Amino acid sequence: MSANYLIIKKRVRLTTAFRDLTAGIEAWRLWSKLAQQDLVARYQRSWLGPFWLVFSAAIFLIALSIVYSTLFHMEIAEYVPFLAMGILCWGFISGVAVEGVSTFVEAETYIRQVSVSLFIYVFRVLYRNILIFLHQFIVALFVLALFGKLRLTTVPLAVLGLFLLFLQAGWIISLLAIVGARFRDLPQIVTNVLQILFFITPIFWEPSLLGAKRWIADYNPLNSVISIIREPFLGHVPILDHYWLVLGTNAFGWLLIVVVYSRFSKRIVYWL
Amino acid sequence: MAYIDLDNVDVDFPLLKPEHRSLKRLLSAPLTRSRFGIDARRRLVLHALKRICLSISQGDRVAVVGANGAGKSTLLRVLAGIYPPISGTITIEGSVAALLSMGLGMRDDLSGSANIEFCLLLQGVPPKEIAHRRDEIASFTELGDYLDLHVGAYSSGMRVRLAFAISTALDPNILIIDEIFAAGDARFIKKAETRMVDLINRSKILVFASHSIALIERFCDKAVWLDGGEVRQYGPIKDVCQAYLASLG
Repeated sequence: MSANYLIIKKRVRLTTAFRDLTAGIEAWRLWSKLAQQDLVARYQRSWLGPFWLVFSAAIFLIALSIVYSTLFHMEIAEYVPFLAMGILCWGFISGVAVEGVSTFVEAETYIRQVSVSLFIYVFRVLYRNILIFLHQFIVALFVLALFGKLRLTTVPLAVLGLFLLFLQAGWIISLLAIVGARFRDLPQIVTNVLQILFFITPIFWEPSLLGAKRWIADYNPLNSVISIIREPFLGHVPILDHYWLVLGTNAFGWLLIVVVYSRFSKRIVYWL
Repeated sequence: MAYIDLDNVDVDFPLLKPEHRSLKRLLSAPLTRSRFGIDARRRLVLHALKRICLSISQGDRVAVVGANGAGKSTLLRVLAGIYPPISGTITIEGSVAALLSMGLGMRDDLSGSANIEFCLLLQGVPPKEIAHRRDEIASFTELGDYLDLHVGAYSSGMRVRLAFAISTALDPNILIIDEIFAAGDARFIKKAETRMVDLINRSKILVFASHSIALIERFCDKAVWLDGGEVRQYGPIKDVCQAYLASLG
């Protein structure tokens, strides 16, 4: 049963996006359930269940640590915590991008049968990825504790960084979901872009290694997104520039979503 | 007062061919002298509903008749808020529930009772009522311990029972039905029919699309005849059905 009063007019109104966003947040029971069910379904009948997430993160980290700490001549105790935080954030970012594209496509049966805010499906993908993130976070925290790098004084800053990361993911999923419903080439494009981004973003190497070409890292918004989480967890205070860049892309992204969603939300069901 | 008012409603389906679905074409369109235009105004569309004006007030029991592809299901989906019209105004007062197809959102990997809970959430049932309605649905299905088993392991009859019980557990002002479905073994069909009739009687407005003249004459007092996406006739059921049947020859 949907709203009591429904008027659909021709004009595009920016309030559409705000109304649907509010309705989406209010339906948190629905999207949190959907996300949990997705994960249960994904790991059903496997022995480790969602702890496969923990396990694969650990394996990946160990393998990379051994090779790259040697290549970069870095102390294991310095390199592994750095890498652990970077990989953790990257896993979330790439998961959000890959799954964001198919947000509406995978929800097609629901969208065709019930009239609810489309943001419910966006939050489903977001929450699902946050749950995955939290599983892998266990590995990162373990690594930090193991090498004695965990600094509680800067943890509030790290929490702020995480909040900004999740906020950022919200508009990215929304945008990819809308474009991905219309253009079915997007998954391939996203996969390719992600592959490049993984290597040009300071995840398994430090920005200082770039020397004179440091700007490659400094102007990369992903570097800022990761830095404001990684550095506080390692006991450093990130430079203010990172925050400006992250807040800027967040504001820009959400504004873009308000406009794009209001303009196209009514067409999405016809694209599926 | 529950009512529905459609004023000049148009619905177009864009025909998105695979080549239109590709970003590459859009990007290369200005470069190549392609014979396929991707002009926003000259896209291929299907006019599913044309200038529909329809007003339904409380107490009306409206049948939707018409040949295949006349736009019956599209009209029901417009009323349910699923297809936003490209032009025109829709005013609906009252809560709407639509029985459009069986097994809405059921997930094979979940248990029967988890599915009940989830489908109720999806239909927008307030969280406070969910536990109570879940029990009611569970007892109606008579599936007992099977409800703890994942739905993938159900027989098709059991699955239909569950889907039927869930989709008829709502209590809307406006009820929209796309073909009545009866399910299960002989005894269950009888039980299901009682439940369906009950649901129909509780609703303040019924909009019911069916090809069975016997069924619509049983439940409806008005009828709208759709033809090629347009309203051909709207009025008392006897007149409309007569004209419709006559047109079939």
